[in-house]
Amino acid sequence: MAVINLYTAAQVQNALLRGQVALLLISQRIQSQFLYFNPLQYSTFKDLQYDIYCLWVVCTQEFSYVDFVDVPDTYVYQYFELVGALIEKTKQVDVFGAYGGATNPNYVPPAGGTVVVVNPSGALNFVKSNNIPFNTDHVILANWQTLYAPLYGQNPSIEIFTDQGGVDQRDTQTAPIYNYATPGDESTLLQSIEWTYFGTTDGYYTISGVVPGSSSGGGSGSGSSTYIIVPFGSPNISTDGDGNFVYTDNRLIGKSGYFANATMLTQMLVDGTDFTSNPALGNMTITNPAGFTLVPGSFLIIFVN
Amino acid sequence: MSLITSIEYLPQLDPSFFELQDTSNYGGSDPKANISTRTLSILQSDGTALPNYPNPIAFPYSGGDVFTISGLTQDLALKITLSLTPIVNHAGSVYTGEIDIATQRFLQQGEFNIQVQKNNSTMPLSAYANSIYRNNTMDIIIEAENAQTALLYSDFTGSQASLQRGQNIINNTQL
Repeated sequence: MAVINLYTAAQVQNALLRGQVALLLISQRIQSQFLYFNPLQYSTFKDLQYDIYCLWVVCTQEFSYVDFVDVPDTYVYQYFELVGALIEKTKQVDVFGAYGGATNPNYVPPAGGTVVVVNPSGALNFVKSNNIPFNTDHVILANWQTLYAPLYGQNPSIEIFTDQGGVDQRDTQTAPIYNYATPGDESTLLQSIEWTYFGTTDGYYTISGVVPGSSSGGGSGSGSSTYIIVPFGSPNISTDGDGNFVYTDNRLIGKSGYFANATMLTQMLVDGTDFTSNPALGNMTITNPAGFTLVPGSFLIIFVN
Repeated sequence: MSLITSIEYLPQLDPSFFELQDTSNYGGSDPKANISTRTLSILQSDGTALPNYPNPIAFPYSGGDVFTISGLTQDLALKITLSLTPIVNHAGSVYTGEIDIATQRFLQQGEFNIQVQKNNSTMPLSAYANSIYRNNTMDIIIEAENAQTALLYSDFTGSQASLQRGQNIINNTQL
């Protein structure tokens, strides 16, 4: 009998979240690269999408019936096998960056250094809005590496700062993003960030670190670049009367003139000139002439130089 | 505080039974002591009562607030009504609660078993078998969704037909 991994509830939730992201990615790739696929590539993508979807539906449906505490019975073993299959299928999405040339044509490589800011309450909303069971003892952030195609293959190490109210730093701990390149380690396949939830639902979690191996092109030439990832539901993002996005963050107070551009997943929203910053208020307005809206599951990614 | 009668459907791992929980907000002028009888009405898509159960079904408080329906052999589209008979009728209180459900556990277990066969087999499956298992799972998922959608329009017949088609797909899938 093959060795079966005994997953915790949190690990299964992670796998479900990864599967969901993988579905979004496959859809994006099929649509953006449709004209360039040969029939075999298209069929491979389509079948993989269906397989992941079926596994995701079944594993989600059965999640609440699985007893993660007692000694597993046959049903639970079968369930864990399906979760393992879901993880294996999801792994195949991770190599898309080198598969069939399916990369985002709109991508402009960031500069070497990267800072990622994620608001966890938004991430929570993102998860709940999609009906994935969520353990409130943990914060699980969607994997920003695979949410945004250009960051494929990057394996940054990160530090996490809890930042209550956006001002005071409370705690720091290191949590490397799982490295899917390491074979034989199931935990490296999940591609998401997880750590014990030790704060309140208010405030910020700041993730900062360095992405090695990214291109030195683009950016401001200073050798560093910053992302701010703003998920749907984040209290930091709002819209003004003209439909433009307004991003507010206390950490921006006193800073000016460094906002480069913003994208929503793969859709380039504005270029480097279509924004205004207000250092006094710590906010910036990103013009949105096309009228894009943040919907559940979407992220606004703001590049800051 | 007015009484609002409500009932909740609780599916179980075993698809042959499910539970119904009385979630009414008893209290104030409408405590349980003010209710003389509590009954359940469970009607199938053709308007008939659930097999092996009378209509209405006595649901006395002495048995608790959870009622177990057992003996199911397939998923069903059901109109479930919880009726309370007050001793003193208070204006503003609602003594009847209804939910429309399409049980899914047989279809979900079918999807589960097909996926177990597809993904957990120790022997490699043919491309044909993989395709059959993949497409049948998708079709069952679609029928399950169709059953729920039909309920949104109170189309119990359509909902039951979708559940039956899903069950037929399961029965016709060779594992």
